Amino acid sequence: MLVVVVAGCALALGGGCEKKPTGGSPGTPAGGEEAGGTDAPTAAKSGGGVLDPATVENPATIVGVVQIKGNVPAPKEVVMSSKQECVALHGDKPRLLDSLIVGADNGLKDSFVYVSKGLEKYKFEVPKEPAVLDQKGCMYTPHVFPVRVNQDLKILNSDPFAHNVNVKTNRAFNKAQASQGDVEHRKKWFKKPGVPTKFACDIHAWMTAYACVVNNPYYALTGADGKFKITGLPPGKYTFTVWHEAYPKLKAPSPKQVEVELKAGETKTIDFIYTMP
Amino acid sequence: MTFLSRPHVFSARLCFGVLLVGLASSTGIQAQAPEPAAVTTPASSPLVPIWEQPDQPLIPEIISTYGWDVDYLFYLILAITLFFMVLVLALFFYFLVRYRYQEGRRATFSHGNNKLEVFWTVGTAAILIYLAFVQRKTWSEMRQELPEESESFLVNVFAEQFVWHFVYPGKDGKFEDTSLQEVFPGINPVGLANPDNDVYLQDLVVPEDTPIILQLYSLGKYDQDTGQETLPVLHSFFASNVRIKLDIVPFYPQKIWFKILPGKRGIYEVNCAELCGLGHYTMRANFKVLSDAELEKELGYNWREHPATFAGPATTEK
Amino acid sequence: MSTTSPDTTLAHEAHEEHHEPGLIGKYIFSRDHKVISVQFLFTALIFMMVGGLLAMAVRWRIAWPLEAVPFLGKVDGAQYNILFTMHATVMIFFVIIPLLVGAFANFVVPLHIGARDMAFPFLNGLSYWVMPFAGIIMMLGFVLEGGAAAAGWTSYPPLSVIASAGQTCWCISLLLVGSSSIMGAVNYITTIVKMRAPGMTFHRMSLTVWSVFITSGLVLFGTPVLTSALILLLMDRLVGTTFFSHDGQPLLWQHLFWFYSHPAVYIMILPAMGITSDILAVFARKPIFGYRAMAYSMVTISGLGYIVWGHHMFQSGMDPQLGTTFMISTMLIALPSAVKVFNWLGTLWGGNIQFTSAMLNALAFVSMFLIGGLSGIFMAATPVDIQIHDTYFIVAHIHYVLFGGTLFGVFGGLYFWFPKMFGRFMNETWGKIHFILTFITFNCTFFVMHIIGAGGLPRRFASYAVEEGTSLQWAHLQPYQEFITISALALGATQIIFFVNFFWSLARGKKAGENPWNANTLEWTLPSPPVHGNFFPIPDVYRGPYEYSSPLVEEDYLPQSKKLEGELAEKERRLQERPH
Repeated sequence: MLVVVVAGCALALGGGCEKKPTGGSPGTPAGGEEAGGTDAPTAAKSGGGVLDPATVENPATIVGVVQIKGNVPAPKEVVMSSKQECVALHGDKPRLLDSLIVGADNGLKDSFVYVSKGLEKYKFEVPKEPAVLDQKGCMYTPHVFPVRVNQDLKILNSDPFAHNVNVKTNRAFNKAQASQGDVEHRKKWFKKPGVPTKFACDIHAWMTAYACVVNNPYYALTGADGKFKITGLPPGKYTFTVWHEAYPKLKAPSPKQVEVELKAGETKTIDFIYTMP
Repeated sequence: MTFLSRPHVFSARLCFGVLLVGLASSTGIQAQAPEPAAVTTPASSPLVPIWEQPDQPLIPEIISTYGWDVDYLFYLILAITLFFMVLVLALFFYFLVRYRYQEGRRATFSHGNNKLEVFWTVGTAAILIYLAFVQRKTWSEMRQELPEESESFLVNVFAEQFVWHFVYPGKDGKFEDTSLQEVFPGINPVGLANPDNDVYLQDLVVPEDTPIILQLYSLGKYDQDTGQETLPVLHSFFASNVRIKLDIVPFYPQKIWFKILPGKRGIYEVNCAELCGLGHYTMRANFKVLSDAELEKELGYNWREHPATFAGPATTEK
Repeated sequence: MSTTSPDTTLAHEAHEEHHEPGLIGKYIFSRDHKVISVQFLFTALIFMMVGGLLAMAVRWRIAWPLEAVPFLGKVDGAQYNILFTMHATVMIFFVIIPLLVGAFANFVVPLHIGARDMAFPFLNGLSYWVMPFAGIIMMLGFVLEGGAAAAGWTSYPPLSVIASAGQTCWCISLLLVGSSSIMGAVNYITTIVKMRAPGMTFHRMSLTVWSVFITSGLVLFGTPVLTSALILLLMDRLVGTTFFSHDGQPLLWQHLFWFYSHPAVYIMILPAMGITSDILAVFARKPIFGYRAMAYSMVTISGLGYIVWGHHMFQSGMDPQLGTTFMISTMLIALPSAVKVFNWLGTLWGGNIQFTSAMLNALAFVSMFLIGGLSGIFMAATPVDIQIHDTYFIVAHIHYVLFGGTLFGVFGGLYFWFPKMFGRFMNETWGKIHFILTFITFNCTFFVMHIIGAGGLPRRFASYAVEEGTSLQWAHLQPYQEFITISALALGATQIIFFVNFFWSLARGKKAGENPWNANTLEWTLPSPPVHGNFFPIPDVYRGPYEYSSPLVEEDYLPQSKKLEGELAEKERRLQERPH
């Protein structure tokens, strides 16, 4: 009977049990990833070794813009009156939802353009600084942020009351942080890519953030002008994919994915256009 | 003493007497509520929440019509239990002192007293039966009866982890359908089919001196990006000043009612009283009792001119 | 006189000669009820420390919400839920029930009825060994992602369905604990029915044995319902069934859970009542007042205990008419408990009371259970329950009956039977100091909760500090919360005295003889501790267990198995026929 019970326990616990990571290290200075490629050059390597975009000789570049066409509504005001603590932080200023921000020339803010295919044969060094997510004023900052596979994650609570970070996909966890100054470290947290991986607060339901988890440094996050540039690419065939959180409500972007053959030193332009339904 | 010589007769008479008293009380002949202080808050004075008032009492102020019935029962039981507690403990301590060990003394070799057993069994039973009778009417009034919808102020209450949503009917007197797939936190928090029709607030606002009916729903979560649904959980609607509490059961909406006494304009609080997760303690809402003019400002129309009903399906959660 | 079957005894004695356990068989996988009871006792004491520390953490978080809790750091809402859930679960299933149904029942029952051992010694050992295993699984939750179970010890779905993996550990662990209880119940009932010594009629059994007998009935018929509820919950969690959601009914769990858990609270009090009765009789040097009333009121409590479960669900959304029926049965169940309190009072009246540590704790049981029971009447009144359900008033009630009642009863039983179990006394002076401090700090901690709860202060809130975005209405009660926590910390610290006394006395306590308390029941005729097999030979029983200060003899006690000769025996026979 005991054997059956043990077997039963092992089976039941085997599914869906994650080992909690060991306690965090003291915080490193907030670095965060920069959109786009990096700067300092060194020698390039292709096939098998670690690739540093900065060291590629005669790198190829992709530039472009992510735009949205059609009648884009003004950002809506978030109703948060039952959460007095959030209201107190904002006073009279309305808090606007940041899910669809359009800048000059229909540029779409916070779109993520990345290489989804073509870099399988390379390995990349994971940045030592953690990706930092802050909870401030009852909103996540930044709203969309890139994270590398195996990069450390650091989550701060800058509000003087409780939030919780609930991640349900990719590598799920749910961590509450009761007070101001609480820091949560998740070392080498995401083990596989996922664009997007959503972060949400259960206590303040409008609070969401999107982590774009990728396994290479070739990505760009657009600003309000919607423009992006990805450089440092060695020659080859790549697929560039775009993502924006409003997509489920918009018509599919044109194009959604682009397969491009890049030669050394070449610059190509890709524009991603979303349309309002 | 006669009750010990014929305990069965005495007990029967005692029981019968108590039953009579209990029946009489259960029809509503109760001690009158203490006269509320004749202070009517003028409709134009600023609303001060109860937590900002000095000297908050241990027992919150009653603002509902049936609140006193609840408190009366509480004080009645308190009086009875305190009396017996003091009596028993007094005897207890007296015995401990009086019968403490003395060398050479012999304890009384008694195995009991049947007459005494009958007496205190029947006596206690009488009191308990009385208490059972005296509370029936209040329970039935609070839980088993609902006022007429046409004369009442109606609110749909959605409890979600970890926020209260209150939906008031639109000018058409009806409540919009809601659907989980339409839920967009911050923008359309309960998934109203037509968000501009009904009035959505995160405060509970009610008029004075009018029956109010709340329909209680538990709302799950819906991720617009992945289509992932999270099960709704148990919550409990609790407003201590009203003396009202009812668990909110997912998939089984229920109605409760109350009526605020006149002159109780102010800001109170709604709490969640059933563990619902990590943010259970943050789940509060302002509960405002307003004058008609203030209520019109909140809702955007005079609700008395637009009587409403709950009829028709309100959520598609099943 | 009724007799047990002599064949069983002889057969057992014959078996004894072939059976020589080694060290492992003697102390680890033992089949001796005395060793098993000590195993239960030690395990439960360890879990008591765990449960107590969890409670300290809970209270610290409440009193000083913006500060870190020692050893835990800042405690957030999710962790707080884990703390109180595990505190209650550990205390109920790994401390109180093993102490009463595992330790005391196991040690006392065979000795009191004059049996060599329990009816099923192997089953007895198995019922113990399931417990540490279940405990490990329960604690496993702490290291899993999401932490241990956090949906309250009541584990209401759908919250417990969507909870993290620790909840699965909780369910599986309780399935094992339930099986341990059921094994014990089968054993006790069989032992008590079949293995009483000659002359030990039902009405000559001690109230401890009565209480174990009745409790075992509760365990036997109630626990399987919990088992089925846990299985349904596991299926909802792991397989995706909807017993408690969608087309199912969340309230179904509550009915199933409380159908067990209400009898469970009687499981947790009845043996302590039995123990208290025994201790009171011994140290008041008087028979129990109203022995039959005491026994039958326990039977009534257990019977009524099966039809009151809905009083935990008055505000659950259940049909209000159903609420009324449960209200009536709940009012009625107050009656037998009240009768018992009056009878304890009657036991003290006219006594010659010795204030030993055991007696002090038993006296505390009576007075604190009185308060706890009286506060239950408020909840039985359904409209009042609307206001006090899920508030600190309930927390106060729970702790008055479980700590003020059961735990004081447990302390009393330990001081009382320690000499028989281990052959040494616990230190009396430190026992009294422990008692006084515990009594004072206990009342300071929990009485105040009645006051703050009556107004409606909700329970299971991680914080009442407005800075954390919590309720604004209850923040003014913070000074009371601090007072409660300081008392609770003192209460926790005081228990160190008990633990030190207990473990030190194991090694260095004053040696005890056969009958240090001059008590009547059969275990006091044996060496301390008794040998394997207890009685050689099985004694004959001539009277009830509470013949203290009998006019028949000069001493103020008259052991159950002492044979009176000639005239005295005749006098006794006449006394037993006449009520007095």
